[in-house]
This record gives sequence, C-alpha cells and structure tokens, in this order.
Amino acid sequence: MNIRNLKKAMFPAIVLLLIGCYDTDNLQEWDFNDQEYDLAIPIVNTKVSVFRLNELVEGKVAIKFEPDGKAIIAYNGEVLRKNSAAIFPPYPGVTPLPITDTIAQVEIMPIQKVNIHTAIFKETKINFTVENNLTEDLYVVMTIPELTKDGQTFVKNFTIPYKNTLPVTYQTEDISVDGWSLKTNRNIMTFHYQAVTSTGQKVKLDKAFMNFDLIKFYYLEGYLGHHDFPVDGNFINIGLFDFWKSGTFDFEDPKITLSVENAFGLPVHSKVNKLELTSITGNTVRLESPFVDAWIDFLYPGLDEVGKVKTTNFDFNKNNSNIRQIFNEKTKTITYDMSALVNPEKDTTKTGFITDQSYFIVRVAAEIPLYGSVNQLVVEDTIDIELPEVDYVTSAELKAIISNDFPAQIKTQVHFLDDNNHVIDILFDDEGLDITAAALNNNSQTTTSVEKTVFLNFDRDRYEKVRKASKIAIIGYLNTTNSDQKRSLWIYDSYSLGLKLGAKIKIKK
Amino acid sequence: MKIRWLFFGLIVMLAFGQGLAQYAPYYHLKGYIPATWVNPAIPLNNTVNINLTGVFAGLGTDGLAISDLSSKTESGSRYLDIKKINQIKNGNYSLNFENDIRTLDLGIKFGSLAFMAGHGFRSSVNMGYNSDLIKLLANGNGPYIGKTLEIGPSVNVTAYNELYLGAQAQISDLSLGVKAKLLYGVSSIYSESSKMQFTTLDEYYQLQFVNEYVIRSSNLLRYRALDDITINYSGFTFDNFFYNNRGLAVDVGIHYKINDQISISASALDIGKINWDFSPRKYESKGTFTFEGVDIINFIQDSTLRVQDTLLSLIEVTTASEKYSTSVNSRYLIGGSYEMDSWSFRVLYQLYCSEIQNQHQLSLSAFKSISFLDFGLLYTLQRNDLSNVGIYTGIKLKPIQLYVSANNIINLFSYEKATNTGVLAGLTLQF
Repeated sequence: MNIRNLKKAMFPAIVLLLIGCYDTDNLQEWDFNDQEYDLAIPIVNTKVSVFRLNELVEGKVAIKFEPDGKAIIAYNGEVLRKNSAAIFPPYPGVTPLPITDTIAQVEIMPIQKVNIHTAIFKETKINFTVENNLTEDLYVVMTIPELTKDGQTFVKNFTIPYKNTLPVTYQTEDISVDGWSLKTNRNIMTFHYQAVTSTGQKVKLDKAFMNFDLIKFYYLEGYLGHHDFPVDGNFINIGLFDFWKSGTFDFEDPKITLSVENAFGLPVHSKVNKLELTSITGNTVRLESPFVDAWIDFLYPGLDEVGKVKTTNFDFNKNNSNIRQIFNEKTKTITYDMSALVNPEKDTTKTGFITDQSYFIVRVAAEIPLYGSVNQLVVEDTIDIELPEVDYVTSAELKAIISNDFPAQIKTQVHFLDDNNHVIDILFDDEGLDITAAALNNNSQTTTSVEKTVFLNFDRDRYEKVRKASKIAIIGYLNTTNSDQKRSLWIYDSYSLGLKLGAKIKIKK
Repeated sequence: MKIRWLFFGLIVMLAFGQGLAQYAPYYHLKGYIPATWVNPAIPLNNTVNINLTGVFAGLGTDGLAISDLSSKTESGSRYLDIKKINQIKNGNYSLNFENDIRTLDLGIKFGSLAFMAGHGFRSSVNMGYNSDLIKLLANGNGPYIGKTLEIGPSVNVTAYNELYLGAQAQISDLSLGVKAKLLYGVSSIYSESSKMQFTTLDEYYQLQFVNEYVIRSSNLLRYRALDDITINYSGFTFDNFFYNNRGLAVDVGIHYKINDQISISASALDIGKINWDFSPRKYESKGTFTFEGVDIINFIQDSTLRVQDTLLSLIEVTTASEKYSTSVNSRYLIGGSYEMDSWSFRVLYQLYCSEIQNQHQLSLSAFKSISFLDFGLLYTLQRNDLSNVGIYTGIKLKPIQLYVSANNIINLFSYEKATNTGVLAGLTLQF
C-alpha cells in the first residue's frame, strides 16, 4: 500500500508523540513474545473423478468413456503412417528416353514392378534434345498421342537452327506437363515427330531424346506393386501392475486393437509375425488366435471412391484369442511385430489407384475396459523425500476427510523410512486408513460416497523424527465388492476419490 | 509476520489517539471569534474581531490504550499480550483523527447585530472496528473455528475547504446565531456498508467471507487488487475549490445570559453534506467467498499456480464510477458558563455524529486570569477515558490574544495508558 503525504496529516500527532513518548523506540520490536498463535487453514480440496483423471494422463495412455460413462483405458502403441510416396515415390529421370525413329515407343518404367494404366502428372517438366547434321534449319513437330489435356493431344513445335557448325545440337526449353494425363498400356509412351527442311523435305533426326528431372503424379491407376510395411519392435507398456505386490485381477474383456485408416485404393492386409504379452514376473506368452496365423484384410476405397478413407477396426479379444487369460497374469508389456502388406497377392491384373493425398495409418493399442474385479490387491511404491525444516510451528493437527465413490475397499498406509529402509514412523494408526466400498444399487453402480474423517497429529518431536526419513513407502490395498466371487463391476467416469485436508497449526516464536 | 505489522499499525493509531476536538478552550474564549466556532450565537465583544490562524489536531479512540493490549517482559520489551486482548470487552470501537486549520475569520459587530465570515480547511478520519478483528489478529483464527466474526472496518475520511457567512443577533439577553457554509470537498473515503463476516468453517477449516462491503472514494483511494491499493492524501490544499465536490452546511446556535455570572448556550454545528462528483469511485464486494484449499489437479496441470494468487483473487471487488454524498461530521453542544471575579468555569456537553459512530463528551473546565495571562484546567469525560485532564494558556496583549491548549497531560509521560491526545492553538485580535 502506498500512502503518500500521509505524514502531512500525521504531523500534529507525531509532535504530540514526541512530547509524551520517550520509550517508543521499542514499539517497532513488538511481537507475540513466547505466546502461541493458532491458525486453522484449509490446504487441499480435491475430488479426482475418473473423468478428471483423463486430464492428467499423458503420452500414450488415454481413458476413453462410453456414452453411459463406462471407462476404458487405452495404451497406444506406435503408429504406422504412410503416404503415397511410400507406394510410388517421385520417379527420377536418370537417363534420357531415346526417340530412335520418327515413331518410337518407349517403356517409361519397368513393367516387372508396376503396370500403369492412367497417370496424371504433377509439377513435372520435360524437354527434348535433338541433333541435326544438315547445313540448314530444321522445323520439328513432336507429338505424344497418349498424353492429353482437356481433349488436346500433346504437340510441341520447335526449330533446330543451323549456326555454321555441325553437328547441330539443340535442347528445347522446359515444357510443363502439370495436369496432363497419360493413358497407356504396359507403361508405353509413343513419340511421333516430323522434321522438315525449309523446302519441305522430311528428314530423320540423327539423335533425339526426351529428358525429365523428376516425375510426380496427382493420380496413378494400375497395378502399383507389392509393398511390405513393418509395424514392429515396440512395446506397449501397460504400467497398470507396476506396483503390484500381491492379489489378483480379473478384467473381463481386455483387447489388443488394430485400427487402419486407408485412403489407398489398393488391397492391404496384415501379417502378424509375433504378438506376445510379458508379465511383471518376466513370463512371456504368445497371443494365440486364428487371425495371428492367417491375416486381417483391411478395407480400401474402390476406383469409384477416389478421395474416400476406409477404416477397419479389428480386436484380438477374449472371443478370438487367449488374451483374457494371459492379460490377467499381470501383463507389463505387449510386444508386437506385424506387417501391412500392399497388394499381398502380387496379382498384376488387379487395378488400384493412389493419389498424391493418399495415406494409410495403422494404430496398435491395448484396451482395457474397466470391467472386472480386483481381489485383495496390494500395491507399493517408494518415493524419495526431503522434509523441510519448519520454523515457529510447535504442533499441527491435520484433519482429512476422504470420500470414496468406488465399489472397492481402499486401505492406505505410509511408512517413513530411513536410509537403511528401517521404518521410523507410520502415518496412520493401526493398519492404516481404511475406507469401505461405496454401496451398489440394483444396476451394480454406486450412488453415494463413503466418507471418512481422520486426524493426524504432529508435534515438534514427531515431526523432527519424521524429518529423518529419506523416503516414504506408500502401501495401498484394493478389493472390489464381492471380488472373492469374481463379481465384475464397471468403473464409471463419475466415480471419484475426494480429499479435503485442513490443518490447525500452533505457531510460537 | 505481516499480521504483526498490521497489528502494530493499529496499536500506533491507538497510542497516538485523540478523539474529538476539544471545544472547551474555544468556549472559554467568549466574546472572541473562536467561541463562535462552538456556537455562532455567542456574542462578539468588539466591533472588529479577527482570528488569524487557528489549528486543532488530534487523534484518539474511544477504545483501547496500548496498555490494554500489551505487557512488558522482564527486560522491558513490550509485546502483544494475548491474555489481555482476550479480555477486551466485545463491541465496536472507533478511531478518530481531526485536523482543523482556520486561515482567517472575521466578525464585525453593529450594535445588536454582528456579521461573520471565514475560511477553514477541515479534515477528519473516522474508523470503526469490532473487537472481533482485534482478537482475530491477536489469536489467529484457530480459537474461532465455527464462529462468525465481524471484521469489516468502517471508514470515513473527509477533507474539505469551508467558506462561511454568518450573523448573530442579540435580543436583550438572548442571542441567536447562524452560519451558512459553502463546502468544497478535497478528498473522501466512505464505507457505505462495512459488513464483512469471517468464519473458519468446522468441516476442514475453510475460510469464508460473507461480504456486503461498499466503499466510495473521491480523489483519494485507488483499488486495483487486494495487494495494489493506493491512498493519495494531499493534506492542506485548495483542490476542487469552487469547481467540484460542492456541499452546504449550517451552524445554528442560541445563547442566553441568565445574569452577569451565568449564561447557557446550545448549538448545532455542521449540519449538511457534500456531493462528491470529482473522480468518484465505488468499490463493492458482495457475496460469499470461500477459500477451500488447493485443488491438487489444478496444481499438477499448472505449475505456475500460486496459493497467494488464489487468495488474492478470492474476494471479488467490482469498481464503478458513481457520484455520492456524505454528511459532514456534525456536533450538538450544550454549555453553561459561570464567571466569578477572575475565575470562570465552563461545562460543555458535546454529541459528535459521524458516519461511523456517535460519541459523547463532557468537559468541565476552570480558568483563572492573572494580569494578561489566562490559565485553565480542563477535565474531559468520554467513553473509555476517565482521566483526561488538559491545560490551557492564554496571553492577552490587546488587541492580540494568543491561546494554546493541550489535553491528556496526566498520560503525557505514560503514553501506553492514553486514549486521547491533542493540541490547539491560535491567534485572535479585537479592535
């Protein structure tokens, strides 16, 4: 607060003060001496619902919700993303195409790999190099019948000027064929030229070539080759069981999902080379499914669906694999090695297409619908701590109000450990903070929270003892209602754990 | 700890306090201009009456002295004594500061009629607070869990220039007087509503404020945030003179001379108001604001989040530009005087009405003239102050009279017991 010129108003009072007050210097040293000062403050007010938890998860983990609020944890693996360059990269003009006669057919690409029926060029430029050994100018008309645009056939007129030296070598300027359409069979392009003298005499050029730097396409149609794209080598780290100590899970319907978005007008299918689940104990089990041994066909747009994207979703689930049995053995990681095969049958008679905008994306994920039971699960994690020195605080009483919407009994204890992992103190009395499960209604959903209030007292002696701890071990216990009977329950987005924490603090200088 | 400094500031105000203007010395100066400040009907003696400069200044409280709040350690250091503070009687207390500067006053008497004119710069600070606030600051909120405390301080700060024209008429032994005053406000802070209830809730000690707090200001207070408040007080100034913040007030009085020794008088002073139209601001906080602690999720998501910011933004304050009016602090006085040879005696009752609180004061005084000197002893009785003894000295060197008065001399060397202190001085002439 800036109080300007207040001294003007205070001046008379200060004069009076100077008259009467001879020991006011110690006014500025006033304090509470050794008296205690009591503060009561709210510290935390947090309600973490499953829905809200989704805001916190990062990286490849996500929580999805069904329209009725049922929660699904998704662990996303690597994503394979391929565009049209992967199928048909820009084609470099390493060697000029020779035009050996006035009518010449040239194979512009090897027929063994691709068989183009239609191509629309993109940002492509060509030119012609010719040689003449006559001592006069020549007039040339070059035609490519397969190359058309807006109903017009490609025609280029140019003159080879004689400049008193032989042979005459001439190269035309670059000619853009952007948007020109090539209709061909077996990759053949026909060059037809007419070269005449000033008197009208037809001649054959001694040499003629078509040159290009790079051929790119807006659209390609035909048989575009066989391609094998690996989707492999990476783990999906489940993490759900990282802190497992004891107890069992039974998730009803864990899945490994493949999702493919395909804008290529080409047949693509999967080939699973390896799909394995590794438990936290290091035991690795192969996923068994008819679809591992065979393949999964992915949808693709037809010739009349250029520009459309076809999506294929496929699950390895409890109905088509052994995933439920092996996942519930506390899976830590999923390892996959798959391929996406384009034109898998290598049938050159099959006509497909790509455009310059075409792509396909393959996503591999593990999905765990939170529907199942957890029986007497004990988890433990250890965290390094360094508690600060606290001045003036003589004691503190923490009041914690914990609420639980989950259909699960939750117990928590915190051990303060020294460098040798000896327990110095425990946070909660007895077996720890024990919150009973929220009651279920007829629809197997909880509607009202269970609330528990606990008080934690720290006087200076206890705090100083706890300060010696270099780490804390947090031990949690979870047991869903009727888990001993494997009663499966859904976890809903609205379920939450709440913590309201306040403190009464005594302060003394 | 900042709380300690807050508390220290409060104590300083209490320690240097002087409540109401001591009108008894002026009342002694019957026949001179200063007496007309107590009652415009008190007859002027001479044809030409002039007052050149007159100053009154003082601070005080109807509440607590330093010794009511503190104790000394064995080493002599003073500390805030929570036990004593807890024994404070519950209720509202006020702090007052007044500073009147009379520049020039003139009175001309024609037979039974007299006319008066003058200028003065007047300023006052009235603050009200509840004992809850003191106890909260002293104890912390720990002892008050589940209890609602009234902590909203009320404040009325007014500074203005006054110009007046007055007249008095004598009808036999009865005298009537009136002054009409033009007021030009310099600056103001006024808490129109000061309800601020603070509760530490039982559940887990949430801090809850229920506010209906409206504070207005002209040319003095600027609020931008709870940690960004500016008060710009300019002191004696002619700001807005004739232009803005205009107001009117009147003084009326009656004086009756029962015989040559005894007279009685009654007056009402400063009955009026000021309309504040220069940069008038209205700051309003209405509603219930509760600090419930920190949401851990928000902290995780935003590492820049600070509890201090959360607390500072907790209480919503709206700002508007809106004209307003305030009544000037008024006084109602009844007095009696008795003259006996070189002695004179005065009794004066004063009711002081401010926007914050009404206060009563009773003064008994005795004056002795020895040659050209006047000596006086004044005893003033008011709430929480039963030992206020003042002194008065006057020097009469015709046509000049100098006067000086100070009160609370008993506590002059024990400030910690004082609740009031003040001084007035002036120079008056008669021809």
